[in-house]
Amino acid sequence: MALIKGNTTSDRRVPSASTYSFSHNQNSGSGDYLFVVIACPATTVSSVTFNGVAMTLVQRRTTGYATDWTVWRLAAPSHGTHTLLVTMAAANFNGVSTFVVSFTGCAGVGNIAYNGTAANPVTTSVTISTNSMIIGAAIGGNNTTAYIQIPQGTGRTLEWNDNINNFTWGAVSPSLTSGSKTCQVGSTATNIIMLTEIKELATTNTQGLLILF
Amino acid sequence: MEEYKYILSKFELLNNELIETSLGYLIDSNQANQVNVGYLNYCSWVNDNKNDLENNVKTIAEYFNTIPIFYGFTTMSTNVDELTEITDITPYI
Repeated sequence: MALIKGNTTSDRRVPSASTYSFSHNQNSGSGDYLFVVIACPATTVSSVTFNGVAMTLVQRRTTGYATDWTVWRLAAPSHGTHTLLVTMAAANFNGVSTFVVSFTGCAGVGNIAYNGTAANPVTTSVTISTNSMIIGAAIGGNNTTAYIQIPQGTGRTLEWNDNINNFTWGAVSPSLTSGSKTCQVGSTATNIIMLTEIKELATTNTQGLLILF
Repeated sequence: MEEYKYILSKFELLNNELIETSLGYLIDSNQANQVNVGYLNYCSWVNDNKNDLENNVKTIAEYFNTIPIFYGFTTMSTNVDELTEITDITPYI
């Protein structure tokens, strides 16, 4: 079945505590998934829950920007509007960026990629399956003319663009063809890049089964 | 990409914790930025006093002694079904 990107929520705040929360509306359908990208300066994210259910860490990067950079996933999240709760290791008085995106028709996470060598522009590659989407994220020294290309040469509208002492931004691609995808981010400063493949739920071929029968 | 709505919130201190209460949503980014001055002023104060806050020399209660309530937005979402649109921002600026 088709992988469909649903509701998105972008949050940037100065938590002033070791936890923060906000609401997100999860779409309903088959193959529901929720993904969260967090750029957290000065401390680390300990856990993320949605409607009280713990999310699973997909990737964590300790960056040269003194920022804990994580991606989290949750299969079959509760439908509708619920609280996303982020718990950090310590009280945080810096700007923290959180991007939340819902999917239906999703088989979960595929391959991931990261290039933490700061450069401008900076690229990295991820090999994806047919019809996968890619969540692309950047951290950079500033966000002047910030952009993201998923894949390289195809610019995407930024879905978050936040001041976190440094800056972080990113976007989700539409469904892509299979193969190795090189993606690129840039601004007027140096940047790093992180990619997460979101896989399509395989379609059950009932017609084929009938023919065999 | 579906357009974001800006979730307008009230910020206050209750039991020494920063409490954010969603009041509704704004569509217009200019209105959102006008309302957000209150939150950005708080963020600037926190940034100016970050070391003291991290070392427990100060608490955020000091800010709320002079400004007990302010408004702004931290969250943008494509789906705000459970909130109502706010068109008059006068009470929040």
